[in-house]
This record gives sequence, C-alpha cells and structure tokens, in this order.
Amino acid sequence: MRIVIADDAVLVREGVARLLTDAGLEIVGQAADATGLLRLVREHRPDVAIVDIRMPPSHTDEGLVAAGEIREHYPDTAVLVLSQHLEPLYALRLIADSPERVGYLLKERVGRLDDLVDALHRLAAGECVIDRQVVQELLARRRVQDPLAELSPREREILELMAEGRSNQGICQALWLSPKTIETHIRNLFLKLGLDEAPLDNRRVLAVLTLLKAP
Amino acid sequence: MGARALTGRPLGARALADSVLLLPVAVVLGLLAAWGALAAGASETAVRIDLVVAWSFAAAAVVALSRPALQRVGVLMAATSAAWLLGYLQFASSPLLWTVGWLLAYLYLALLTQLVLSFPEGRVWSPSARLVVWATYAAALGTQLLVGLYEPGQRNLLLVRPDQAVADGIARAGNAIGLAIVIALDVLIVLRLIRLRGVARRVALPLLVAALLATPLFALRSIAGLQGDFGLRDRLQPFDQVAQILIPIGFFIGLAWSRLRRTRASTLVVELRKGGAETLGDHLARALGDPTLEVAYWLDESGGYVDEAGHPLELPPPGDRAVTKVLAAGEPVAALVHDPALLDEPDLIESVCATVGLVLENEQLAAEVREQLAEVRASRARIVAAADDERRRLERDLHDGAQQRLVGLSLKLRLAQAGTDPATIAALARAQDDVEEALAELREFARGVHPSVLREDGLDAAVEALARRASVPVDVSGSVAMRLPDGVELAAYFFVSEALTNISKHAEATRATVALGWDATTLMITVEDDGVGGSDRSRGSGLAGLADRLAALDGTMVVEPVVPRGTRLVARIPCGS
Repeated sequence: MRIVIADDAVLVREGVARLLTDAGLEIVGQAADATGLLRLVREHRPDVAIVDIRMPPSHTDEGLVAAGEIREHYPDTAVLVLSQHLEPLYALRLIADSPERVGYLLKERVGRLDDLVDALHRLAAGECVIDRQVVQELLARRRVQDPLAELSPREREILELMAEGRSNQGICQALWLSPKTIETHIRNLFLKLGLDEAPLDNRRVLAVLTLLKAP
Repeated sequence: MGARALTGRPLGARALADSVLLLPVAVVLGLLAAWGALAAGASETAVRIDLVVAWSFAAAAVVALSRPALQRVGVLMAATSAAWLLGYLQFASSPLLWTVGWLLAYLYLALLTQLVLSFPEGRVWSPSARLVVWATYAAALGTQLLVGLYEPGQRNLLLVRPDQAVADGIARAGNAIGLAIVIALDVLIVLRLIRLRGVARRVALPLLVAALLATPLFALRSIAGLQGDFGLRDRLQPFDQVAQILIPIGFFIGLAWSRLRRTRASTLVVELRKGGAETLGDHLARALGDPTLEVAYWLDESGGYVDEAGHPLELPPPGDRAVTKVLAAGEPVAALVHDPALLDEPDLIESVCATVGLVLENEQLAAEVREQLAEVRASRARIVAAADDERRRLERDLHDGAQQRLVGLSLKLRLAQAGTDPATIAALARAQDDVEEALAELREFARGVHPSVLREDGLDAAVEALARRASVPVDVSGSVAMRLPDGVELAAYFFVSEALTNISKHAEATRATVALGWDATTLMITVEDDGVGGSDRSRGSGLAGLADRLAALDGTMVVEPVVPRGTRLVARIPCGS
C-alpha cells in the first residue's frame, strides 16, 4: 500500500512514517502543508493520504480543505484525516458528500499501530472510517424524544460499529456473530429508527450519522 | 455697571429688623404732633389725613430699607414721612419752632420730587431731573423764607416788614413756580415711562403712575394760589394730600410685582428639571422678566464663552447690558447678559444664578459621568476582547505545542516496543495509555478554553455540541445560521455552556431546552429547564461573571421562574451590523 503523510509536526510525521514502514507499508512522500500534500498526491497517486487537520498557515482546518480537494480530483486516493478534535461535526462534514475512502481518526490513534493499519486497509478497500470515540460522543447525545432509547444493547453496539464505518463483515468479526444474525439486527434497528429500506452499503453510515446529528 | 461675580451675602432679614424700629418712632412722633395740633385747634379731619399719609410713607420706608437695592429710596421715604409732620411745628407757641415749621412746611414736596425722580435707583435720573429737584428745594424753602419776611405774625422770627400784600404776591409767584415744577415733573415722568423697558419699567411703573395721578390736584392748588384764591387752595389741600398716599401704594404694588417674579424664580428649578423644548435662556428670561436675557456658557477648552448654539460669544462691555457671572464650585460656568435694572434686585438674581450654577454643574457632572461611563464600557469591552484573544492563543498553543509533543511521545513509546522483551513492551504500552489519557484531558481543557467548533463552524454547531455533552436531554431549537462577531459568539457560547452546567449541577432537572433567536439587531438565547427553580446569580459565580461578559457587549441577562416548575435564563446581545 502506498501512502503519503502530511503534518507540520516533524516529530509526528517521521514517527508515523517509521511505524508504517516497519509495518510493511510504503511511504511515498511526506509534506508539511496542504500545498506540498497536493503536489505529492498529484505525483504519486497514493492509495491513502494521511492528513493532519491543522496545518499552516492558519492551523485551523487546512487538512479538511485539502481532503476535499483530493477527493474531488483524485477519487482513487483515500484520505485519512487526523484530528485533535473530538468533534463529530468535522467527521460529518468529511463524509457529507460520499462516505467512501474517507476517514476521521483522533490523532493519538497513530500510536496504536494496529488500529491505524486496520483503518488504512479499510480505507484502501473503499470503506469509511470514523473514530470510535467520535461515534460514542454522537451516541452519548441525550434527547427528550430519543429514538436510540428503544434500541436493545446489541442493536446499539451494532449501530456504533456501523457508524464507525464498518461493513457487515467487519461487524461479524468484531462481535463473533453470523452474517444472518447481523442482518436481522440491522433490519430491526433501521425499523426502530425509521430508516426502513436503507441500502446496506456505506451510505447507511451517512444516514445514521445524519439522524444522530438531527436535533 | 460692570461685570461682577455674586458671592454669598445675608439676605435682608436683619435690615428689616433694624428698620422696623422706625415704625414706633413714626407713630409716637405722629401722635405727639397730632395731640399738639388738636390742642391748638386744628381740624380733626386734616390731622387724620396727615397721620395716614405720614405713616404710609413710614411703612414704605421700613420695607424699602430692608432691601439693599432700595436703601436710598427708604431714606427718602423716611425723610418724606418726617417732613410731612414738620408743618405741625406751626402749632407750637414757641416762635422758634413756629418759624422752623413755617420754613420747612413744604420740604416734603421737595423730598417727594426727589423720591419720584430718583426711583428706584435712588440716584436722580438725569441732569434735567436734577435741575427740577434743586428747583423744588429752592422753591419750597425760598418761597417760605421770602414770604416769611413780610407775613405778619407774632411768632414769625423772620418778619422784617409786615406787608400782607407783598407776602401774598410772593406766595402767588411761588405757586407759579410750583405749577411750572409740576408740569416739568410730569414731563420727566412721562419721558421716563416711555424710555423704560423690561424689568425696570415694571418695578417703577406703579409708583411713577401714582405720582402722575397725584400731581393734578397739586397743580389745581397751585393755580388757585396763583390767582390769589388762597381759600380754595387751602380747601383743596386735604384732597391733594390724600392723593399723595398713591405714591407709597404704587411703591408697594411695584414691590409685589417683583415678589411675583421672585416666586417664578424659585419655581425655576422645577421648570428646568421638567426639560422640554425651551432652552435654559428661555426659562431664565421668563423667571427674571427680562426678554433680552442671554446665557453665555463657559468653555474650559477654549477659555471663552459660547452661546446656546455653541458659537463663540464676546461678553458686551459694561454699559447698556449688564453681565453677571455664574460660578459653580468657584469656577465660572456661565454668564448671564441682561438688563442692568436686574442688578437692583441682587437677591433675585443671586437665587437665579445659584439655580443656574447648580443646573449647569449638574449637567457638567452628568456629562463627565457619561463620558467616564463610555470610557469604562469601552475599556471593559477591550479587556474582554483581550481575554478572548488570549484564550484563542492559549488553545492554539495547546494544540500545536503540548498535544503534538504528546502524540510524538506516544509514537516514540510505540517505536520503542520493537525488539524488546515482553515486560518492557507491557510497561511501554501502559505509558502509552497514560499519554492518551493526558491527551484526552488536554483536549477537554482546550475545548473549555476556546471551543474550536465555535471558531470553525459558528454558534449553531457549538450549541449543538454543548447540548450533546449535557447531562440532561437538551432540545435545541432555532438557529443563527450566520457568523456573528467573535465576542458575541463567545459570550453566547459561554452563556449556554454556563447555563447547562448550572442545570446539571443544581437544578435537578429532567430536561432542558435551548432556543436561539435572531433579528436584525439582537441575538436572543433562552435556556430553560424543568428543575427546582430559584436560579439566581448565587447559584453559580459563573453566571455573575457571565452577566459581566454580556454587559461588556451591552447585552443583558434575565433570570425568571417558569410555571409550574423550572427556570428560564434569557440573554440578549445586540449585534447590529
């Protein structure tokens, strides 16, 4: 797998590059800002671009903007945005157009090599990845009229995994359940949330997150 | 009269107390004279009339002497009162007293003329008036002296050669002179009345008109005397004398008019407080009865006076106009340019000046306070803005400094695990966990310092984030759907944040709502819960700090109970573009 990394913190950039190289992934380029990142993507057409959300010059959301450009011009390159913010809104903005080949992870996940490599593989395979903690933050939202209150613990668990961007197969592996059982759960879950007939691809992530975001 | 500053001066109460002593003196002297005259066979009616006239002038003198501006008038009135009774000396058996009484019998007429022609200043108006006054004295004394040289009489010490015909001739000439003087006097009075304007006219008018009314009878008597009909002349005397009473009456009426103005002056404060379209100058002109009055305001910056419209104004030189400076706390604040006649009533103008001084001082203080308040508000806004900037900087430093280092540290710990023994790997992994925990805490802290979602995505998203993290279910309604000034967004955000924190800490609520509303000029945020209520600022010091933050933006916060249960906090922040 060919990867480019963009982060203005050399320490983090080099560290991630070394870890991933050790894990057998190919780092084809490193950049310190969005301009450098876009040049690398144009030259190398990597499988995944790892992008820090805050980069020069303004240190706000340059990473998100660059991610948007990559997805528009180089749809074959997946983008993994690393963020300091446990803020579902950024993740939602990222997947708003199409929840494929795009991921949002808290920055400290880079120290968890297994999680990081897993996310990269899923992204390269066309999936969507949302940080577990971000999903929990979303689901923690309590409402006066709370549709989530009707879900069973198992259904809730499955909803969280779905929201992280996992496929049915991924959920099967995570929960040690048969695909048939999972499908039944998901149908019931959609029924309870009023999302009947939703297609069982990654678009359900968008559906779920959009529902969760709605006041 | 030149400009002068008014200083504190006791009013006329003491002067009145002193001059009141004149009254018993006048009464005793009058009664003595009357007793003597009646004993000598004088007509009772004539004596009564004389007493009333003399006492009227004495009373007028007492009142005039009590007023600083009317001292000379008072002295002249007292002298007139006394002179009125001098003629009674002719009832004395002593030749000396008789002769003195004879000589001074018409002195009162001269004094009256002087009184009228110098009213109210006490100084004779003009050279021609002075001539008339001197002529009156000369005629009153001279005629009696000359007649006395020939008038037959046992007690007449002046007698040189008794000759009734010569005496009558001189007396007729004296009457002619008297007639001429009366005509001159009337002309002078009429001219004076025409020339007088404004305040002085109103003070002097009643007395001068009284004098005009009194003169025809004297003129009639003079004509009778001129034709040698001394019997008719003497028969007319009581009527003439009664007419003289008009003069003290006119004096009292004039005084009463100025009292009326004083009452108006004392209600000036009330009128000025009412405000309205009228300027201070309008009020003062009415209170002082001087339509020509102008107010000049002192400007410290330019060191000069300006008029009510703010145009520079030169104070007129002493002369036609008088200038009275108004001081407040020892400093000039204004000047009144007015009719010099007002200076005759220092009490009146002093009280008005005091009022004006107070009003202007008050206005000046109010203006200063307003200025200082504006300054304080601006500096408070700056302080809050500076604190906000500092928060933003701090949050950024945390992300770009500490957080990056910690992430780097986590990476290093992970890299160090390669190729070591399992025990070390486990220890390094635990250290990595600690680092992640530190990162999570740091993230929470940074969010509290300055929420990035507010900066990046505005108030709606930030409020949604707050609602998501609240411990009770929160419904959010309404939206702003646009970016507002940084300070407004931050204040609104902290308001919602603090309100929700209070609800979870104190309210025992089961749910809460946040409503965002927005019109062209004001952002309105309502946070409501269904808790135990009683929310006031003591519930959390955070709310008090919040009220300060809102106030720095000219915003307000209201805490009110919700029926049947709960509390509503409403913040309004002006943010017109």
